Amino acid sequence: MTQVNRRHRPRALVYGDVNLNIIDGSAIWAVSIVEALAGAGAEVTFVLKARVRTERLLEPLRRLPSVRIVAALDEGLATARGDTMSPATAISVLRTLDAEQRHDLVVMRGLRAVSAAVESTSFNGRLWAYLTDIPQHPSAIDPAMTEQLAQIAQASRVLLCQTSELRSLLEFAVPGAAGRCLLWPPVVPPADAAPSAPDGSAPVQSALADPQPNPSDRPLQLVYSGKFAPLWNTLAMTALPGLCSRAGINVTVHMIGDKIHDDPADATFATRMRTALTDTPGVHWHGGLPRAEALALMATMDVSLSWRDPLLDDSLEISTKVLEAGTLGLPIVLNRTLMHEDLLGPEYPLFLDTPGEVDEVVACLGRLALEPTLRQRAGVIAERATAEFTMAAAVARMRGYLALCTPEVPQPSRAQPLRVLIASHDLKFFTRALDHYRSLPGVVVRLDHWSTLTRHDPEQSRRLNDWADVVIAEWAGPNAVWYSRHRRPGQRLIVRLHRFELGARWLDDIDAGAVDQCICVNAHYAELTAQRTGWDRSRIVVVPNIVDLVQFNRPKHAGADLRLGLIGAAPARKGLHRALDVLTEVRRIDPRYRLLIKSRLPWELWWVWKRPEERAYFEEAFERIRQSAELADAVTFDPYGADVADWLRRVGWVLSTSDDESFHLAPAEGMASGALPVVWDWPGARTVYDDAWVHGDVASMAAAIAGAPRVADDPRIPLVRQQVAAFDAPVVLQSLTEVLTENLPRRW
Amino acid sequence: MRIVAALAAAGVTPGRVVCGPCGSIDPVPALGPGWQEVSPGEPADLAVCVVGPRDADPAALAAVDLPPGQRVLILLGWAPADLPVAQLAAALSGFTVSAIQRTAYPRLPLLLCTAQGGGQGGQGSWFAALAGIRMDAAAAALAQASAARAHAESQLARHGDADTAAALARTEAALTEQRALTRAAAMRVDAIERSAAWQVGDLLVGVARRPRSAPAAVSRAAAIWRRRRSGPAAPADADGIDPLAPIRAWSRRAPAGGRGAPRIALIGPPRTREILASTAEVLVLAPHDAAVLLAGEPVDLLLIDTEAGSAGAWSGLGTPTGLDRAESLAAALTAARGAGVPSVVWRSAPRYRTLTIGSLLGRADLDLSPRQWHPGTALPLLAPLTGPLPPADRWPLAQFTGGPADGPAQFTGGPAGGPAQFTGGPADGPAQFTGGPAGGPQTLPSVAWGLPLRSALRIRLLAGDLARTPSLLGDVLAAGAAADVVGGWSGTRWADRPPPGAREVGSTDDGFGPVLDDQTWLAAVREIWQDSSTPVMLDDVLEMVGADGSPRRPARKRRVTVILDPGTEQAVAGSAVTSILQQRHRPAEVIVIDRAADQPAISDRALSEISWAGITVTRLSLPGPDGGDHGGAEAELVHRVLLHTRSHWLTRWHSTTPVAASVLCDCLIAAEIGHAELAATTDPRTPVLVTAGWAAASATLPASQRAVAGAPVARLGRPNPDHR
Repeated sequence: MTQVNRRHRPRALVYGDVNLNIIDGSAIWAVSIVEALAGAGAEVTFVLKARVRTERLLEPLRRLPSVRIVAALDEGLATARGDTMSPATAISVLRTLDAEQRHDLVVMRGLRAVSAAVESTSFNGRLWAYLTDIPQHPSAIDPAMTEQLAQIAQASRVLLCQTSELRSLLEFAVPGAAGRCLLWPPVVPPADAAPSAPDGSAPVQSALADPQPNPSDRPLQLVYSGKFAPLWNTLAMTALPGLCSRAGINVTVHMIGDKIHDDPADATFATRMRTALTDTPGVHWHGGLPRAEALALMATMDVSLSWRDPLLDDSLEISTKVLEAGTLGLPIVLNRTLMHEDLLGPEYPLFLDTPGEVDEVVACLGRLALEPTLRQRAGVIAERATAEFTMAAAVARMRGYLALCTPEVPQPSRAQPLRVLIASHDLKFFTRALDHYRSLPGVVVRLDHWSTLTRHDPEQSRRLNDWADVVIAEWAGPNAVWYSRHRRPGQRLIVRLHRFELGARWLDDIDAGAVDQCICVNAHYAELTAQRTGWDRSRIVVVPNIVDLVQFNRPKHAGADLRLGLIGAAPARKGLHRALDVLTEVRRIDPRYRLLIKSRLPWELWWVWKRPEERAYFEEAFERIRQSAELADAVTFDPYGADVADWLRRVGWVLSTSDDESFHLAPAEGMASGALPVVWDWPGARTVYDDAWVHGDVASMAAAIAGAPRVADDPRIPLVRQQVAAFDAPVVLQSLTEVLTENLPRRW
Repeated sequence: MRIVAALAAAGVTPGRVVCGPCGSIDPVPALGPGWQEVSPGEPADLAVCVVGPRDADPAALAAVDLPPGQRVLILLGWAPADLPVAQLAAALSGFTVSAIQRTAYPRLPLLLCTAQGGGQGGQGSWFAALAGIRMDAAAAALAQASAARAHAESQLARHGDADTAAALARTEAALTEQRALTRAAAMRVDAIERSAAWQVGDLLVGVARRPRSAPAAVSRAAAIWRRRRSGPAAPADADGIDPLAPIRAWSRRAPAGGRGAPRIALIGPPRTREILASTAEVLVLAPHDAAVLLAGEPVDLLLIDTEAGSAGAWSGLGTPTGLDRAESLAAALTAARGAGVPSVVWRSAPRYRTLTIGSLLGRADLDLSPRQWHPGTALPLLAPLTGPLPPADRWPLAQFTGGPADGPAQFTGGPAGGPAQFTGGPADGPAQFTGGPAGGPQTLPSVAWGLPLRSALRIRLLAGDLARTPSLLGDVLAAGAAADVVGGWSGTRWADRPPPGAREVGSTDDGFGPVLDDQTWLAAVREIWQDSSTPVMLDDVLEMVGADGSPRRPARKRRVTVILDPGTEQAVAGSAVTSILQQRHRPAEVIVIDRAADQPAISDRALSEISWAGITVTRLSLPGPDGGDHGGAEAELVHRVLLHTRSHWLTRWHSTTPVAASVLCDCLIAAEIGHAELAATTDPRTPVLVTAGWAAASATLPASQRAVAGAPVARLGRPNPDHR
């Protein structure tokens, strides 16, 4: 029995290419992620870019025992011409600290700093990169930037994304990003942190605690907090008291902040802005305030203004000012965008549909002035919507991420790390496991990459074999044959068999006695393997493929209920014709159903297209789509890609229509996304998926779809989530970890 | 050029000839007199080979043992457009090309070359020559197909009948196919040149020439071959890639015959297709086939409705999670530009839902806001409502009461014979209105609420649980219908204000508002038909993109020629002229039939008033009806009229009875709604309109409705049992 080590606290090294002497969004981000890491149980080393001039943001961190703040310039660990470190200098400091004590994760913000870290290769596989200073539209990401981001993705364990929109962009535009992106929304302090009133008196209650209708002599108090810049409409905001007055509405505008931007296109802006702030009746300028004071002042106001120029509407970042106002329960007047609709709901009453027209703003304020219930309702919506942006939520989220990326595992009491060798020509089904092995403390991983199924460098394989304690042959191919014949005493050999290997001659060449465990992905294939090879059944175990539930758990798009999804339509055994049959039947009941197919097209696979029977099959299928009234315009082919999680947001029903499969990941991924699986009864399907999802004929498949309620309301969804949990990464990776050191029990 | 002449032109004089691989053909006689055949191995002035699908295999050429410097005549048994360039180039690498000439045999290109022996000729030079032959042939075929289409188009513009429309469709289909073949040929040539097999083969040939280059060449060849297997970015492989495959998979068949309607490629929601389909041939594009279809299919216009992102194949377009859709849109715009297809954006969706494609949309040729353009009212979709409205006391305005959150919303009331059911669906589905006249339920798509029917119909919204109604009513309102919204917003999310397009008129106790009478309704329909019906709007946009001359412009479908045929009577010219000039929809042309040569029934002076109004006037002199041969005279009339006219519609005003001002308009509305070839009003005394095609087929121009008794005639004002 292996001896279990003490519980391991992850060690995090954090660096943001930000100056904490300036209180802005990036500085607050750095502080909040350190706090979240500490709250989630990590030991945090926080390296500062700049010399410390103010303790305003650092003071709360210094009270946390698990946080060590390293002011590298002040402590003499680095030198710089000015008050801040260059990225290269910062990386050097980080490497030094990491050499003293290896960190499990290195959290870094800023494209320049992250790029420097990637170039150093010191933190590859442990980097958690947070990037907002990148182009926010695919057309703006040129090939050089794509290459740079791809390298960052390749080197990173995690890409932290502020919003799901940013995640979608990275997964779409950057090779290697899909599967690595995790959401890290902004963190705002909760309202019940009870900021004190600006004069230091008793804590200020939420403005909604007792909404009173505005008496005619009491103006509606609007508040804005942030920078003063043209696109932030701050100059226009100062005109609101006058404009509203003409409309018979009494308002005052309170402005908080001290950063007046210079506009390169308008040299007079700064002057005019300052004049407007100081000289406009009805406008009160409070200057720059500490964050707590700013929040306290906001809490005494009636309405928060987040009205922007429409040019900012396509930002993929969410405004922390909006979130702060929301946590205070303030109704917020803001532009209608998809992101804001997702946050507040499409029916939120204070959206500006034409933010370029000030009349709409005035009309909105008029309604607010006259209807206190409107203010209350909007404030309640805002408060509820921002509940997930609290530190408590952030800590819980970080705890989950740390469990995912820095697992706590029982380790044998070994003097040296466990040396694990992965030998394979194709790791596409093994990348998640590989990442996991690399993150295990006490494990060192190397790869013996075979150039093809049958070709390798024997000399290299010999050297690696001599080094390894454990060899995993991913695919039971000639790699498994070679390693079974070269197994060293005391070494463990694990072979992972998928499907096609059962039909191959080389299977007989594997020295069965040298294989400690043969992993199959389902019970059916375990049985087939046993029958085919005659190997000891106790050595054949079932470990399913991995589905990263965290990645797939994303809200569905409107209309997903009416979309069937098929992942992979080639070769012919994937059963495209069957999917078309199902669609035809379903559309006879409701013509709104559509089929989305995410796949390479058959002519893109040379080994498929060169076979006459495959070509004939697909030509017939495409002809059928063209000619059928039920199918024409109802089938969409989406390009093959790693962005499956985002694609599944469009799909409410995931089909598996193959003639045969070993596991078929697609239905499981669909289940993880909240879709319902509809599985053809291919051999072994019932050993992978519950009978409830498996059907023996097309009519039954169609009936399961067309007769069902909306997917989100389907009473079987809890069952789906429960069942797919068996494929979840932590569960499966636990088995894959145990198998490194001990045989798994046979459970099939 | 015959072989003999070709040889002579190449300076080859008759002498001794040896035959190489020739399959089953004996080529010697074709060489002309004076040639003496010798056995292989003997000295010869010329070697002859024939290779082709029915002749010797090109690979046999590589085995031919010829002395260096031997002249070789190679006849190719493929059509120039079908030359297997790679295969031949490889086979001919042992020869040096010295001339390539075509023969008089259209399927036999001729190659005259000199054997070098030892494989030192190189594939490259052959490749260029053979590819050139193939591309030349493809270009020639494309030019021929284009010319045929142009001719058919001009014929359609001239005659505008069904036959010429069908001919045009056939030539368009042929042109599409030829474009695809040409494109495929170019792609194939390009693919071969870039293919791993080709590059490796070329390297090996080079090694044969320069053995010292072997190590580097082998290394390069291995690298090329590895790249071939390395994934989707690998260059096209001459063995595997089939450039025609996506074209075959996605191409649509050109409509057979057709009505000569404009062909519009649409990126848009199903609703827009439904509207446009009443007037145009709509080619619905999907993200995966848009670029391929735009590059090859003959279309007049690419229309991008930004609401495409709300439903259908392009759902998600414009949103941050629809970046793949945006990429497909970009490819479509590029393909349209390359194919010379004008692209039009109709920004029907709110701006905030199209932020990620803002810059893309700017690439379109025309960018239209909803204020500037919309696809119009599809009158054919109003077919169930073309009957007269029932008396006011039996026609309550349709009530729309909200339903439970998950159930259908009930919409009770409607035209006589109700109750009508209005079942709603999710935001991206059509709202269905079923029910109607006593003849049974009819389905009226929500779009038929009619775009700006203005006050023709009102929807009263009563208080209730409106949890689902926002999307339902939004569906209707988005189609442009006006809605009178009755108050009582309690419990709804619209407590603050009614949705855009709705007008709050009062409390729930108001009862029902006034019911429109026939005349008011008809006036509204006429106004819509003239100003904002779908054909008008499509015509506008085609004009905006410069497709003025297209024979498929919808406006041509409304061209009417009035034939004044007063017989031998002296016509009261004034009433005829007045009738014409007072028409709400003016005819494009007036043809006056003069039967009495010495005394025209209608004076020039009278006709000049019509000319001044911009109407084309033509006089046709025809003999009066001969004693018994009315049929012959009628056929002659029809023939002469069809020779002159360019209109789609003809009407013969025989009588001098004044014709009501709305006759032409009402007839055309009825015809458009019912897709009919004959149209008339409900007054049997008024003339009937017939299409030129109908007149040609029946060899008659009926002067009155009585003359077409039994034929299906569309009429405005009561349901046409024969409409589709």
